[in-house]
Amino acid sequence: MKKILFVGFLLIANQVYANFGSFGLNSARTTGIGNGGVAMMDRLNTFQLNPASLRNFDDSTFFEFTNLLILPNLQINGSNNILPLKDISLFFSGVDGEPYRLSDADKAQIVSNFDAVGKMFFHTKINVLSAAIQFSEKSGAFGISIDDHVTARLNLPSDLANFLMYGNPRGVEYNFADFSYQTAWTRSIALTYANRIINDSTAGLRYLNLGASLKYYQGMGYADFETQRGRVFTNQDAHIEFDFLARGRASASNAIKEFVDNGESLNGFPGSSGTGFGLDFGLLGELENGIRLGFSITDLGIFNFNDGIEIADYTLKTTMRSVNQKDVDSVFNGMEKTNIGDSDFSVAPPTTIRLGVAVPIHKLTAFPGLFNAYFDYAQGINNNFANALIPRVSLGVDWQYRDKLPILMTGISNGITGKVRWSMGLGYEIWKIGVYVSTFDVVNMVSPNTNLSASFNFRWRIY
Amino acid sequence: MKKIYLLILLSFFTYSCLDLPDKMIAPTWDIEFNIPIIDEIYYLDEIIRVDENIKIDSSMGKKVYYVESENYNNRFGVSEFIRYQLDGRFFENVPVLTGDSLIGVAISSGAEVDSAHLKEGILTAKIINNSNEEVVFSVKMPKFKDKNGSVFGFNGTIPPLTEYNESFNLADYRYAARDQVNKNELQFMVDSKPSNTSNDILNIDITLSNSDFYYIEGKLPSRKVRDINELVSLPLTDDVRELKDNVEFTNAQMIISAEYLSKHTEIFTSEFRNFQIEGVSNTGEKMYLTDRDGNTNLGDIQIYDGSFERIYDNTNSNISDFLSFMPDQVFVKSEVYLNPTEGKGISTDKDSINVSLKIVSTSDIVIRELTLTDTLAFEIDDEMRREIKNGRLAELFYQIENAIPIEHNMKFIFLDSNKVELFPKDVDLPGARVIDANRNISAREVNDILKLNADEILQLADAYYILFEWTVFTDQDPYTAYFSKEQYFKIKAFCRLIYNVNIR
Repeated sequence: MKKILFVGFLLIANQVYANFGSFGLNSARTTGIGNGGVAMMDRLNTFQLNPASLRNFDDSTFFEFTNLLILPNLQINGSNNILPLKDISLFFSGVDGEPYRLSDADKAQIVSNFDAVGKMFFHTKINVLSAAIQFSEKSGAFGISIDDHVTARLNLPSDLANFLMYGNPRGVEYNFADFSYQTAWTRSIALTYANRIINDSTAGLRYLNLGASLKYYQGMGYADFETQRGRVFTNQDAHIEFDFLARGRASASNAIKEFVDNGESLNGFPGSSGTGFGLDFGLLGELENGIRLGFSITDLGIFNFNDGIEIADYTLKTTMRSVNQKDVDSVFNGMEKTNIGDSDFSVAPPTTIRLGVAVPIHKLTAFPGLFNAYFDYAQGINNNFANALIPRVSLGVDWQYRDKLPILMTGISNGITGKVRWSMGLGYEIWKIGVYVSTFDVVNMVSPNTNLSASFNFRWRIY
Repeated sequence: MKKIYLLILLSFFTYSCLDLPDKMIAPTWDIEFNIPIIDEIYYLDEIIRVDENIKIDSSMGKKVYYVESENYNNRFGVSEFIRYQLDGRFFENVPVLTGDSLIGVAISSGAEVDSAHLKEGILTAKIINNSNEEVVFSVKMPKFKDKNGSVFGFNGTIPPLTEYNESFNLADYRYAARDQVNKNELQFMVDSKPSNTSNDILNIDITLSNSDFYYIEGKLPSRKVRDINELVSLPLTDDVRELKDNVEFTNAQMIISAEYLSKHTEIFTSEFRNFQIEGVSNTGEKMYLTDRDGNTNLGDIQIYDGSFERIYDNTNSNISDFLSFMPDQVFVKSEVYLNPTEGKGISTDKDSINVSLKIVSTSDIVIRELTLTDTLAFEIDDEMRREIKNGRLAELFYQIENAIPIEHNMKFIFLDSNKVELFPKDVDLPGARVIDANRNISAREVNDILKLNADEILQLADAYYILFEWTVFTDQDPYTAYFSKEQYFKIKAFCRLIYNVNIR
């Protein structure tokens, strides 16, 4: 029951990043090391971070694919900086069966959790299919991946918490201009090719891989809402001034509209209301001492929505001076919607620049087993989908003490809220299968964040 | 190293033991709401609308309200005054042989008539021939002429020892005696001749009766034409009745006017005698308008030039008390006499007297403590009562600028379902001051807080009635309160509410 409640809470309150931006999760393998891995070379587990990693150094040929249907590869990642689990436990447990009474310190703590903006995200990624093959050393590696992303991204200004906790004291101005949300259901179909362009220890490099992915995006539905002005001010006479301006955009396929408007059933292929193209480009090289360097640019392209478009501005500018019907109506019924039109609009894909280093500690020291360290830097160039302009840095390690034993993974990274997230994962490769489970949130019991991530990968490797 | 490895492995599997509560109970917290209640300025101009009864007097530089009742008119004719004014009787024994003899007969009313146009007039003639001779006679009334100018007369032959009886209607005859010396007489010209000489006599009895006129001119005797007992209903509303006995109209007037209506200018004077004005309330209470000495008989009123107007105000009557009595009906009582001075004039059957009554009062008033009481149902549902109990503190901040010269004391008594008092709340609001004889006003300001503490909020949740006592009065010295369009009542209020959010 606890788990159900917990997951339910996050489904409602959190946005999950997957690899559809700098803060997205890619796979359980990369999640376990702090959501890094640009310089990791592990084919289907890494090639969406860096297409050059599809071409392994050790493999002359291979064919592998992700699990189909039985155990679908799934990444869920939730994050918010609003209500930590320890606070949930404290505040929602009650005292002798009676509600817990929030003290002033509790309220201040809740407000401070927001920082400037409370972020609530939900994103799930389902890997419909990934497959990769390398026929020979010369042929290079070919890959295909089909992934569905459902994202919801809600930014709540900290003044919302102030309002909920303290009401509207006189002389206090609340600014809700940071209120925004973005939600989308998109599908990405990527065709990838990677090959070695240096393989003979030239210029200090043992080898250098080059990879590229051509992506086709489908958008089944998209909506965003940006608040440009959102001021609520209660003056000394308790007059409440409202000044609100926002623009909302939406695009949905007919099936989505029918689902939303009339509750019609929805299948997995509801048609698209937008399409786009993207390109991933990556380099991955290894120095003579075994240190690997990776660089990639992912999701460089355009995403255009052209069906079922509705764009409108929402304005509210009024002052409530009394509780007479006119004033009350001016607030509660005063929001004016101005239809801007139904023209196509574009949303930039979550373009991300990534740099990574992978250091084989076991090669440089006498550390037993296979012990690697990873340092990654990811810089989004927009705030769309799971992307953010905030840079993300991660440091992670994995360790397999002996062959046939599980691979232990751990790492740290900054979350989009600025808080440190500690990840941990477990992988096991045996026979032709590889199974990885990871989480990005080991410390959510003590962190001000309430985060949840769960990644699961199941990979068949035929040869 | 193996142990470290196992420890890390175990920690991984034990992760996810989250300490979430088995039963989620939402926390509670106090929150402060500041809700604007009102921010308005109300001018009397918006509250008191000018209409046919409420008007504005701007003569003193201020747009002062005054009340003017409708003009309650009553019009009555005075044709009674001229009726029978030419009635008279000629009753004489005359010799049967009489040459043309002019005989004057006194007009029984005593009128001295110059001229008249008869509407009616029955002349009856009875002549008894007491002789043994046939008598030929003629009677003429030279002052009566028909529309063709022919003198009225009649004649005949009366056989011996018989009599002559006839009657004539003098309707539409003109009477003209302007050149007559004795205008108080009717003149007859009698001529009789027997068939043979005789010393016998004729008994002549000629009577003019039921004389009535379209027009009559002359000196007519004074006559009471009617008693007035006219009823005027004042359109008092229940709200106005609330003011009964509590309002003093310091500048009120009752204007009684009368006008003699005629197309002629030489009209008779008229007089209202024993003039009384009586107010009656719907409950049967009565009050007279009196003079300063307390006399209910307001005296006699003469109309000399066709009209008069008498104004009863606080200098000559108890009008303030009378209006404070708030009569629903006003009776105007009097006896109306015409030509009390016995002068000459003209009157017609169309002449009438119009009596009117009007009450005018400026808004200069003194209100003694007037308390309006009402019990209001505090109708809220149980859900709202539960919500009220979550209140911790309620403060009503109000800032009032009162530029209306009325003091207010408002008392709210909250009652439970058995109408037992829970707690009272008082609000006092001073009125504006009239600061000089030019009626300049100084507004009064109040900046206060009406506070309900936690206990009172809990009691409020159990309140089902609010007993509202609103007392208003004026407190002006040495000037009097008055009301003008420019006066206003400015109120700004908001509620500060500390509320305990309890989602359960």
